Amino acid sequence: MIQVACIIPAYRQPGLLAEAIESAMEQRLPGVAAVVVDDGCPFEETRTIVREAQARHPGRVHLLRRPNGGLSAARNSGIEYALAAFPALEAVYFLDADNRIRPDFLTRALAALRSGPDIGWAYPDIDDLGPAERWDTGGPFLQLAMMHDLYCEAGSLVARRMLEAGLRFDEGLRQGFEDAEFWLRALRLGFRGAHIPTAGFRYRRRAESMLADSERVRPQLLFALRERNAALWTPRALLAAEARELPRHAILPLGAGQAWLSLDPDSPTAVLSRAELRSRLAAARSNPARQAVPPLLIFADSAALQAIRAAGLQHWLCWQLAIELRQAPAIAVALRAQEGRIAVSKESGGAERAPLLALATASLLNDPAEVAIRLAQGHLPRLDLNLPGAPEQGAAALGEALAEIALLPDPAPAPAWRREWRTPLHRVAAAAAAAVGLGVLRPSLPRGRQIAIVQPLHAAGGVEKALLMQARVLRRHGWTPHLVIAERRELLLLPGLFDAYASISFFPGTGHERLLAPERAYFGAEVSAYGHHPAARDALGLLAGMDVVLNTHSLACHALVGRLRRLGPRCLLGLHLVERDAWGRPHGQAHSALAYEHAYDAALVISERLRDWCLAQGWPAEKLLLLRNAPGHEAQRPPPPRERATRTLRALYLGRLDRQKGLDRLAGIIAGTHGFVDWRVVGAPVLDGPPPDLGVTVEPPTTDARALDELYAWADVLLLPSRFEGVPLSVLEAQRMGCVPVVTDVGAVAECITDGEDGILLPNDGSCVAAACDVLHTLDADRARLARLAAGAMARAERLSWEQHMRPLLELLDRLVPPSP
Amino acid sequence: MRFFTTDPAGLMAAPRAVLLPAGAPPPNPALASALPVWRVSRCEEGWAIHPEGRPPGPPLIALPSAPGGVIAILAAEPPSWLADWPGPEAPPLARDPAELAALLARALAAAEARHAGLQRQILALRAEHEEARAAMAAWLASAGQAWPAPPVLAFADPEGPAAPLAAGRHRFRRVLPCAVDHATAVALHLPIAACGAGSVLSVRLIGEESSRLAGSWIVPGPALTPGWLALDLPMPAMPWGESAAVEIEADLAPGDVLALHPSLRLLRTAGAARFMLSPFWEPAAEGMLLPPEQVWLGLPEAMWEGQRRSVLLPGGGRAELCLPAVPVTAMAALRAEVALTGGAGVQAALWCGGAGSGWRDADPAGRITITLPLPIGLAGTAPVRLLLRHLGRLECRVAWRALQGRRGRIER
Repeated sequence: MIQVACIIPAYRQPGLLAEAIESAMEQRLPGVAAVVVDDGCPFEETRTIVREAQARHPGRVHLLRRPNGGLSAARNSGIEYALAAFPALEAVYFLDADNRIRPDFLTRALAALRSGPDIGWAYPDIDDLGPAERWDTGGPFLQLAMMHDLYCEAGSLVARRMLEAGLRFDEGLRQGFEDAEFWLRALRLGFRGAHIPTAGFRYRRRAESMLADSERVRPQLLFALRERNAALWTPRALLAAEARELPRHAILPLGAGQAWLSLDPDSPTAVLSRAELRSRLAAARSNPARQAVPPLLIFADSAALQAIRAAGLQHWLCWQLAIELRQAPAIAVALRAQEGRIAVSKESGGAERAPLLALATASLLNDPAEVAIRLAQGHLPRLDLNLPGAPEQGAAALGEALAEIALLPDPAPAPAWRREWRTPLHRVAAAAAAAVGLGVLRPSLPRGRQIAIVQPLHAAGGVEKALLMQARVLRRHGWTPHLVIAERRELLLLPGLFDAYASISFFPGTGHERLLAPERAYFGAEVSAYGHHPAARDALGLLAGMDVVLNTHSLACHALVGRLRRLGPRCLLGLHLVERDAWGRPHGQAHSALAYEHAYDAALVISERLRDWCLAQGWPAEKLLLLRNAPGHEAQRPPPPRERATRTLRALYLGRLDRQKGLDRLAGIIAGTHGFVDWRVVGAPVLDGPPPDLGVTVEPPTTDARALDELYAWADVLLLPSRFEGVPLSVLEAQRMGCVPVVTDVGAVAECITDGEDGILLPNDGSCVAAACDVLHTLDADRARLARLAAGAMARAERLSWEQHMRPLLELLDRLVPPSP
Repeated sequence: MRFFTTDPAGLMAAPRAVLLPAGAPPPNPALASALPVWRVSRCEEGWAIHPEGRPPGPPLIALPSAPGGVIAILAAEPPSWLADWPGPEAPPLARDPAELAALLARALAAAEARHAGLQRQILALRAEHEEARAAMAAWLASAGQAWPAPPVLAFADPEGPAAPLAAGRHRFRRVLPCAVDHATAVALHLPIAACGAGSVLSVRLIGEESSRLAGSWIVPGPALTPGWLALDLPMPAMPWGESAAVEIEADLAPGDVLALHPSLRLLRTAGAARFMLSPFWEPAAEGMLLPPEQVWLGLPEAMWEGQRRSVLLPGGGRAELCLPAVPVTAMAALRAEVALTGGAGVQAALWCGGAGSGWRDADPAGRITITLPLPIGLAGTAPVRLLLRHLGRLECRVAWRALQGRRGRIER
């Protein structure tokens, strides 16, 4: 009974064919057949040699003839035949006509194949026939290492169940690497390989061969392999494999005798003793391609870790450390307590007291003494994190790291003698990601649906507040929102931010928003050159594991979305207003976004007016989604009584003190209403320099919802003489408190104010100041009208609801990323 | 239409088969007994190929390719199924038995011509092989004139404790993480050893991938002493490019004591020849060749143990260094190398088995090399004495660096 069929394709190779057949026939394993597939060979000698072998080994050598179709087609014919002809067949071995196997090969290969239920194939070391090279393929089988180094040879034993699952060689790959493609598809079907120790496989390597031809077009073939097996290289698949096989971090809590291995710092996959970790490092020093060790060793004070985690920074920090450790053997992280903000800066030196220290395993394996000297000298880069709740005084990581290095044993004895050529395992995951253009992947194992909300900066602006309110709704509906800041490395902690966002991240470095490509400006609008910046690969890695990326106003992020969509995430654009610059030229995100329209799945616009503008600019109607604004916080108090107040009229300006907000007009209005209006001006410049003298004391901005509602409750009128606006949240919040908005008719303001019913619109021209003064005079004189307007505003505000407004977006998201059952 | 068969393995493994169309007369019994005959009949989904005399029946298995062993179709007219033949070209048509006989005769003539060609190729290859063998032997004889190259450690276990073995047979086997190529000695650690003639230790060095034997030793019980037991190969192992495996088998007689720690060392030559006399070598093992007789063999390191190898010779002084038990069985000559450091004027002579070399002077580099032909018939071990005299005045350090032996006839 035949249990193993050796399939030998034969084409223009008769001179060596007899050796291949004989090496199959000399196997000590019983039940071995040779199935020679004559792939339309023009040499009659091929058939003659096989017939002679048939005569020598009656019933064991089978000859199939088919028109020439290439190596893959020939092997496939052999597979079909073997499955049909040998009922007791357990496995198929692919033997090339110029290779040989030692007599115990199939016995050992079959033992390896039977060593586990998910083992689909057993692969040998590669002993060159001709050159005196011997190539090691031993060690644990790892999917990522296989994907990157493609170290399984065609001369492997394949289990029948793998073939019965439908696996065949791709007949379209005639230039080579068809075997690698076969193993990649086996991985997709859930099979794994197993190494055959001391197999005895002899691979003929000649200066000119099919392999030499393939190597000449290696980049194209690798591209074809990845295209055909793209599911293995999606960011999610890469992360899952990394977490399973090659956890990126060893977190060593200070004072504990353990190391936590993990990809996701929130989900340790293994806990090792420090001694075991040291022993693995010693083994990796002698052969890093066989012994996996995490590429980052992070010594950390537990209280510091807790503060970082509480600030939602743990994934970003690990990601950033991996980037930093490409350039340095170690980096320290210092923490400082700061309320209300998070800020990151990069310094150097001063590592002695830092509660967290990360070491690059690659440097440690190369030369531990050198790393120890660098640490002892203290000339290390340092990340400073300013964040709320940072411990004032914690344990220092440096001493413990030095002690650990001192205990590192000498390299362990080499586990094998054949030549190692594969990528060190601590580099494999990064290399696999790099193959598809990704830098460091954000180390997170996604659970549920993830959405990154990208903003260039995060201050107290209306856009930030609107996005925060949207994130809260998303979270209530099962999404996990993540805040990503593209331009600055600081953010203002708006109230409720940690409830809305699961994490906070920053793009690598700063200044990307001003990386422009003027030669490719789209009708004069800025387009980004960030896509060509080296850091862009890491930024892609930061976002690629998400299900959805919502970019609101980041020019740098525009440059990433085309690649992001090919990698998997769905990409949405958030648009809030159309701007012009000081010279009246079209300017800003709405214009720039026109150059990137095709890369987005949809754009969210906050007003009908903005929607119409987009349609007129050529956005497809189906890609535009109206998502109206609502107040930027929950009401903190009931509206005050507004009936015919007799005291002096109170007017409030609330917002950024930037030119765009019409500060020159505001100064004129305050001056023109002197004596009959009590003014309060609350805000600070964000984009521009110091504001002009407004004639009143400027109060600092507040993000506190209660303080805001008290301001609206104090004022009778909210006055905003802006030159550009979208839909200001302050208008909606003021309406809710019965504070009458008096606002220039810009942007979509008219969509939230019905002039004379729930607010008053001012002309956006040279008459704005005079008109505003008139309105305030009128309202001061006619308090009944003021009260009617206040009632109208409150009535309108009652109809505003983020939950309601976001329903179309939630439906769109369900279509783009259906929820898991 | 497709082809099917009831017996795909039988059809594809037949080296020379004849096909008959349905309806053709049965083959001549002489033909049927000499060649497999298969008949092609219509079946529901196409054509069925089945052994003559056994009608097609389920299960019919579709042929993915054409059978390669069909030498002819015996049919008066081309059968209709020929157009559907799945191979690159259809088998030739023989219209009657005479045409088939002609076809077979042509195949026979072609086979004989091929056989003649193969004979010619083998002759050429044999001639080339004989020249390669002669060149190899000459190279071995030439390389074997040099002092043996020192070995390097290819693999080493740490020493460790081990419990004594019980009487009876014990087997150990390990694949080492190093290649067998150029291996020149295996060493194993015996923490405790006190055995008589009833015990024996067998050691084998193997190329693991091919299971070929690279070395084999049988050590009698009395030769087992505590410490490292070094077993030399007579000449370095072939460069097979395979993993080294070591098999150890201990047959222990009752009352004998042997503790065998499974710690091993493997030594190999550092890129040069190293030929050694190996007292426990098992030449009877399959494929185990000894170096040619003209080759000088290093003597076992163990014979130096506990012996004085150097002496400080004052001006006018005399001294004698002695190795009391040098294996001399079948040895035709010994060769010693002595190195001098310091004063000039030292002479040396070698003495063994009643034969002496006479006094020899040092060369300008301070070396004295002495070759001593041995009397015929020496066997077992014999003492070898190095006699030294200093004719100069300045103190001189004399070191006995090496001793080699040579089998076979000595050219005088």
